[in-house]
Amino acid sequence: MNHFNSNRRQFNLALAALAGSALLPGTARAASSVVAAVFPGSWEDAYRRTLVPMLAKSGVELIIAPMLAQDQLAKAIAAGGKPAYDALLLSPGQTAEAVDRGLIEKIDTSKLANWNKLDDKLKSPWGPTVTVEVNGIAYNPELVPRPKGYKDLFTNPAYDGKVAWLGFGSNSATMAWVEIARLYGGGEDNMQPVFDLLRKHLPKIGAIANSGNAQMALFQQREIGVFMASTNNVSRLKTMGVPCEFVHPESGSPAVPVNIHLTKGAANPAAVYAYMDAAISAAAQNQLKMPPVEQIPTNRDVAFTPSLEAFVTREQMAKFIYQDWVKINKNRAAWTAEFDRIVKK
Amino acid sequence: MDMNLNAHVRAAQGKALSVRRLTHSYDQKIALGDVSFEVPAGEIVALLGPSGCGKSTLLKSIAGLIRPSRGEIRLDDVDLAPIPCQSRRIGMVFQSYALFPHMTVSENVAYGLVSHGTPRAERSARVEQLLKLVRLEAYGSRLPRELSGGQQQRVAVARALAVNPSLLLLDEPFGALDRALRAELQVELIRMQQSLGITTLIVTHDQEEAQTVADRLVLMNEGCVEQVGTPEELYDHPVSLFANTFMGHASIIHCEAVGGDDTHTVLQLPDQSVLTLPRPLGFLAGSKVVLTFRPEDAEVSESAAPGLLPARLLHCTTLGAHLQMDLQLQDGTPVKAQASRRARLPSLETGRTLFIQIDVQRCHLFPGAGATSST
Amino acid sequence: MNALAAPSLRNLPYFGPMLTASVLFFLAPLVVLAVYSFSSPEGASLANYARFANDEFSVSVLIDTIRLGGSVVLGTTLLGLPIALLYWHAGPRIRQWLIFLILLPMLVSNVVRTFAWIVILGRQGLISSTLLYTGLSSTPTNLMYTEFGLILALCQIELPLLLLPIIAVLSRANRSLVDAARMLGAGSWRVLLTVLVPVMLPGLLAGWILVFASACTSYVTQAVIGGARLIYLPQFIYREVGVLFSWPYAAAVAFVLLVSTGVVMLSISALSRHRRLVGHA
Repeated sequence: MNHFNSNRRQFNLALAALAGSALLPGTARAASSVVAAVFPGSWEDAYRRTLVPMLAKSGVELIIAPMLAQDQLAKAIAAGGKPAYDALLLSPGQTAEAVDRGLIEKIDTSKLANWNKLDDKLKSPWGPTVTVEVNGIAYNPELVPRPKGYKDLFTNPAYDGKVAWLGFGSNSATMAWVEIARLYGGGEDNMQPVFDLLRKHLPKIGAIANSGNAQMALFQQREIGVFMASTNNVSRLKTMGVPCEFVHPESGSPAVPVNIHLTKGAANPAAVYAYMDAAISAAAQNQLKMPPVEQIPTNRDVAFTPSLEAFVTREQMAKFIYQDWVKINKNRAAWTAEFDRIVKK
Repeated sequence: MDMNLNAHVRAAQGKALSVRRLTHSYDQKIALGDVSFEVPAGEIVALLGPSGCGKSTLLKSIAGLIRPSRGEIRLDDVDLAPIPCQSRRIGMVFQSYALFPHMTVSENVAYGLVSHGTPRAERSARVEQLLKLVRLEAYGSRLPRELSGGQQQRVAVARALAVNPSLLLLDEPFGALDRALRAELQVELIRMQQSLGITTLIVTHDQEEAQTVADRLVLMNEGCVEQVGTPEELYDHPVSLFANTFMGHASIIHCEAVGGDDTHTVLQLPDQSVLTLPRPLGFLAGSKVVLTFRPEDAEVSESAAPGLLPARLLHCTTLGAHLQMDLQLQDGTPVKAQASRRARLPSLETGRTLFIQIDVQRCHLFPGAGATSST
Repeated sequence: MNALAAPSLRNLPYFGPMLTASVLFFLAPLVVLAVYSFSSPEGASLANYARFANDEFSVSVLIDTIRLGGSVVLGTTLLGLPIALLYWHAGPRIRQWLIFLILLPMLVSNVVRTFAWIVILGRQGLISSTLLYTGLSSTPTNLMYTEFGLILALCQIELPLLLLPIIAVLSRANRSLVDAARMLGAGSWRVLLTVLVPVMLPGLLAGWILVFASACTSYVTQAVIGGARLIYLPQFIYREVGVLFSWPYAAAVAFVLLVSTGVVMLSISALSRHRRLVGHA
């Protein structure tokens, strides 16, 4: 019977994913199961390998639905109160949007045994942070000197024509722009310094790409020598043999916490809590910090691996900058429009 | 047709066409083998032959659409070889008519005039005359697809005539038309050709059509000219078995020459009976020969007599004033005989045996397989 | 034929499945999109359309998109006509090879082809290094993220869409038409302009419609080769949907794109229904 239910759920899930809608209500769900949206690719594989067997031992069936954060959000909006997923995996950019639209619920932290293993900065009332993606500057040491920070990229002529930028459609670019705005007297509320700088500097910009992937393709082709990257981007390029190094900007590295959220209207909140707790447990994170995913652990009991420490240490982690995504999201449409107007040929 | 119009349309006189020793091959396959013939100025000649006999290749060579490997084509003693297709001023009517589908009838007719730089005013006057000539005055602004097959054919003729060609080539121009319309347009073509006096070469595989329209026929087979002559010459005096059987019907009996002298030839027929022809033919005794005769040269009678061939009546068809009989000789050879329906005829029950008398004056003899000539 | 020309209930089995599929998978989503595009905080209104029309920047993006489609149509035509003529003059063997070569790029995913163009167009790319090597240019040329580079890549990607309808027309065309024109005194150019091009025109127009629609909406190529500084409506829509979550506005912009490309395509198709072009293809 259980087996039958599980198959049927998989089928429903596939259909729901296909149609992107909640036409099929989740009536046939087993008492102790959770459908969790997880980023596709390495994340999906790692969670399937680590968390699924771990939760199965405690009687919770974890079903992974691979999906990008933007798509999770789009589908949750489209589902209109009948969510296809019990748990979402989002970065603050999307989290703020999900809070705003009432798609997720605040959690009861007392239900998470591992809650107090997290740093205070990683204890969001909307769900625990399972890892942190650190952003900084990636550069090709064969093409350009090592930059110290963002300002270098605008002031040192060695970088003219070598730096790629993205618009405000990208989260990591948005974070970099906010940091640059801060350096020039602005911040989450005031992007004007960046726009002024951009207008002046536009002829010296190497490329303005449309997506992180396009940027990485350009970097591989040596068309550009610098781009705003996460440590994950850099380690991926390194494993492909591309000459690439990561720099923490001297003004501090903007970081993106990745959080698990409880969907409003989730069929089985208890199972979602079990999933959250497992994801921040030392047992899970000790596995997730290993290659190929190399997620930065958020559980204080988990030690950094040497390979992780090549990029980031626990000491540096304390200095990460977590930006105010509520403010950013409020301004994002306007920034996007203004950015387009400045860069459009 | 009014004479003024004629005089105007006939600006260029027809020229004599002469084709000498023309040879052409595609991919080592011989399409034309040493073809020679003449078309006198103002005459209409038909190139006749089964499909694949090389007549289209010949027509394209004359038109300049292909360059023959060897040989000479002359129009009134001017060698055409160095003259490119577009400067030859030869009119052509294609089998498919090849009317430009996006142009009106008038534009189609004017096409050649525009190419040759005829002034606009003169052009429209001439288009009008030509459309009048082919009786399509009211159709100038139509598109080809809005015309019937016969009308399209007439537009194609008008278009070809527009540039005052000294030679008109027609490639199976009646092939796509039904029988009644074909006969009507054939007569029209003759009328027009005669009034314009344009040298005309028409390609056809239909021997009846060739006989209807042409003064002289050039019969082709397998890339070679088989025989040139008037329709009567080809019908009455075929030079080969092919010419004989292609023009009209001929019954064929395989036999053996068994003797003869300066005045006659003796043949042994498959049923061992003997037929004596009152002419010397010069075959060695023992040669295989083919005897042919037209249906009208075989007379049937009810009673046996020496020299008559017994045959079983298979079928009888009425063709106007004549009766055509399909018969079978004793060895199975099929033959045809014809009789006037006015003549006193035996009873024509299917299956009965009749006796055929072949007109020994008019029948033909050709060498059979393995024949040797004594001359 | 006639039975299908006038749909009646009796013919339901013939057009029923098609009708159901069209309504379910094409019309219904379109209606949803339309409803979305009229929704605003103040209820149903034209606010989203007004916002687009009153914004100079958005209108310039629309114009750029249409212009991109037009340039690619022009480019593919200039590239495609010589190939079509080669096809016309070629023998059966070469024709087969030509069709194979024309189809070859279609066997590769659009995304892969697009990324391959980076290798060709970039500062370190094939074009740039050829220019440097031959001395035609002394500094590296970057065609990535330029309109010319984008048009070049799109021309290659969309070329089969132009050529296939033309080849379909040419395969059925009466070869005697050219012979007839030559015998009537036309030289090569006159044959080309007065016979071959008009004969190809129905296929050419069909190809234009396909190329235009495809080039205007080729999100991936526009994004990867064009970069962020060349903004076209598909990217514009994607960002409104996926980043800014303003779906009603995105729906309105999508409709603007649909209607404006639709108008261009309908005009081309109206042209192809001209009495001189109908029925000869």
